[in-house]
Amino acid sequence: MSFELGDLSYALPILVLVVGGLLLLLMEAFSTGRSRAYLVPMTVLVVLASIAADVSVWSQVGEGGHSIMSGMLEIDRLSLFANAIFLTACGLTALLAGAYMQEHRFEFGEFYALIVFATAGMMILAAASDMVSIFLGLEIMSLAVYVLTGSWRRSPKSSEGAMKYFLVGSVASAVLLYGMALIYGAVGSTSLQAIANSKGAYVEPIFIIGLLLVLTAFAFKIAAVPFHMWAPDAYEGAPTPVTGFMAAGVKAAAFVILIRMCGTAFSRSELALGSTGWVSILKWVAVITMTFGNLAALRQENIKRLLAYSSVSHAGYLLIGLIATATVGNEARGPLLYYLAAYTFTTMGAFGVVAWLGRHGDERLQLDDWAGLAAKHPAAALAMTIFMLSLGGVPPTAGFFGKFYLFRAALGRADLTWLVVIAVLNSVVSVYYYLRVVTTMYFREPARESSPLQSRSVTAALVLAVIGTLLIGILPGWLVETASSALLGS
Amino acid sequence: MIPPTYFLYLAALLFAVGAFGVILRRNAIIMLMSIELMLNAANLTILTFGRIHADPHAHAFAFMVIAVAAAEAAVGLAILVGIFRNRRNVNIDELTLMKY
Amino acid sequence: MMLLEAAAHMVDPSTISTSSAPLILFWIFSAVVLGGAILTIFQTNMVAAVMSLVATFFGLAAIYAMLSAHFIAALQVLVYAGAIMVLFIFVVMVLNKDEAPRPMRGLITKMIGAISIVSLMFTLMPLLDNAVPGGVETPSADFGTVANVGDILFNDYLFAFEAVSILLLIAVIAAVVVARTHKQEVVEEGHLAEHEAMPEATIEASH
Repeated sequence: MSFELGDLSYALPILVLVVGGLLLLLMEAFSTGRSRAYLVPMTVLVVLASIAADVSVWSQVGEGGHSIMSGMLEIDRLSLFANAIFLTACGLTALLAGAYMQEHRFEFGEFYALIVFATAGMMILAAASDMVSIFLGLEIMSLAVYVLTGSWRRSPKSSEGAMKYFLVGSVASAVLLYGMALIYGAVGSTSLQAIANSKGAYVEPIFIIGLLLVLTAFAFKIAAVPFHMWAPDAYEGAPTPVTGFMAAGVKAAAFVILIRMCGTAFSRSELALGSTGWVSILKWVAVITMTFGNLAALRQENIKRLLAYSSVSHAGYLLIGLIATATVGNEARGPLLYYLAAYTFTTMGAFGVVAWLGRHGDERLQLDDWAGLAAKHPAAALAMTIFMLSLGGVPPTAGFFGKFYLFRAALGRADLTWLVVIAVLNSVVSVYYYLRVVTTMYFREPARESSPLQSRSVTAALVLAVIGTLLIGILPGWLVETASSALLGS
Repeated sequence: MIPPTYFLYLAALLFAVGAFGVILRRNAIIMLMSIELMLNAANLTILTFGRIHADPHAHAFAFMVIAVAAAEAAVGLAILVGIFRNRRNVNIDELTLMKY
Repeated sequence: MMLLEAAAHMVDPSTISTSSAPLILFWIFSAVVLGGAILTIFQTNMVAAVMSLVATFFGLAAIYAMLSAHFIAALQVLVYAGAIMVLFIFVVMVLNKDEAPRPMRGLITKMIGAISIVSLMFTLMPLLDNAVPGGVETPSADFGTVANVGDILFNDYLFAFEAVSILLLIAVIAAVVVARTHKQEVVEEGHLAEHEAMPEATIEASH
């Protein structure tokens, strides 16, 4: 296999995004004047072009997968569906960020190029079918997000969060690379398919160690307990639209590549199942992650930290989906992707409302700042309520059906029942702190005046997120079918 | 011929030293350098296995890792300079603005 | 155990004549690599730490050459010992601050981390012993040369090569975003009273 020009047509969504990112960078370089507001519609345009490319490639690849770029990327419906999730997160982030950066006075044009490149990195990661491209995609995504986290330069919290995120993320990358080196040593190839096909390598103990190191590194990236300690600080410190991008996009990308790796390289039953297989380890990680995330979220007074811990607990629910793909079978992939799509709209919306509330460098993150919001801004309070209900898994929102399909898929195996029971109990507990936000908005007297952002693009982003959350929730059928057709490939 | 296992031992020890550096030291520059040590240990492992399998692809992989390490160091140092501007300190333990 | 084995190799008369020279070189360079690494993590003087790391990277370059990775060995010197370490020295000079010795904090986390590293090493080390039952394959004559690696880089790894260019672009943007001073911010420096901001002039001069 070597490089062919025809490969490029399958990589079109990534190419469009990279070229668009370069154009955005040039526009920034050649623009005079102070405002960079015009880059927001430009970024949205790039995102829309990439979505169009994604849809056209979707029908082109059909049910199978196409290995392109000398086996570095595998373009199949799994990666294309994931692309749509990343692009949604990217577009919503761009819409939120313009007014947010202006309001807090750290506007800079490179922001848009960075989120576009980060999204391209996610796409590479989601389509990667070789350890080299996994490593590179992960690094492109991570480095761009580190910079974005620290981009509010005058906020000490922002640079502090960026530093912690960077150090933990880089250690995770080094651990990942060492694990990959051991796997390469045992197999003699970096291709996921070659790893899946190698017979003798599975008895090599260094392969197992390598696998555990790779999974540890990804546990850092998805902020699974006990590797979550960076998440609350990085989430709180980052500019709020970037926090949403991290919670939605980075997490989705890490899960998609986990689906791919667990479906190919680590899929052998002697590797996955049994008392020492990775499934039994992940079960415990999932339980601890859900429970710890929810318990820690219960006592948060800061809305961003509350959402950060909620995001940790959601990583736990998603891990159940990953376990289901290994034990129940590939049909569990559909619910997992559906959950990721629902979570993206919901979490982007929730962080969008948080970004909307702050003014003049004061982000208003304490729950007390939200008191009585419903009286003055009923529409925003309603939107936040919808997002909170969706995160908590209350019907008829997207979050409810996400959990419903995910848990139903996991129930396909009797030995996962206890896991689902714990997850359902956790969801019930989580409703408490989500409703706390809602009751604060509706039933408490306002403590201080609020005059949130007046911006069409922020309103548009919030409206889109509400529509997404409700539409996926009320009419879940089409998305489930689309997600389920992303089963195949590899 | 030197037994290839020796190279793997050296890499593992180097990885451990780097990991200890990350854990024990709280100075961000030293932590950054320790991460570079860990990346180099991984690279040495890749190259050793590449020699064992007589597979030149390992060299291309190592090439990519060196490039990634360079980019990572640049980003890390940029964030470090940013943090120093704000508070004139690069000690991680004193980054305690956000507490539980 | 390793030392004993190596000593046994050296004492054995049949190996001394043929293979002790590279083995002795290996030990010397390993000592440089590990010694430099240990010095790096225990130094309190930043410049000395960076210099120890440079020594480690030179030692590693020599080790890479022993593995017939000549191209990568050259890159290791050029990129790592050269470019990256210059960057480190530069930042150390800009910040110009040694770490004051201070009491250990977060002892429990450190203990857990140290224990997990040690246990990883204890599990991994014996496994490495027979990691490759197949033995060492004989490489082709041009193994590890620029032509050989370049051929792979621009065929099989073309995509990776392009992806790395995006990565480096992001690193450039990162430096620009952090280093550039916005006019808007200079005007507002007065509002930064709550945290001690560094005088802009010092930073600008050093950039």
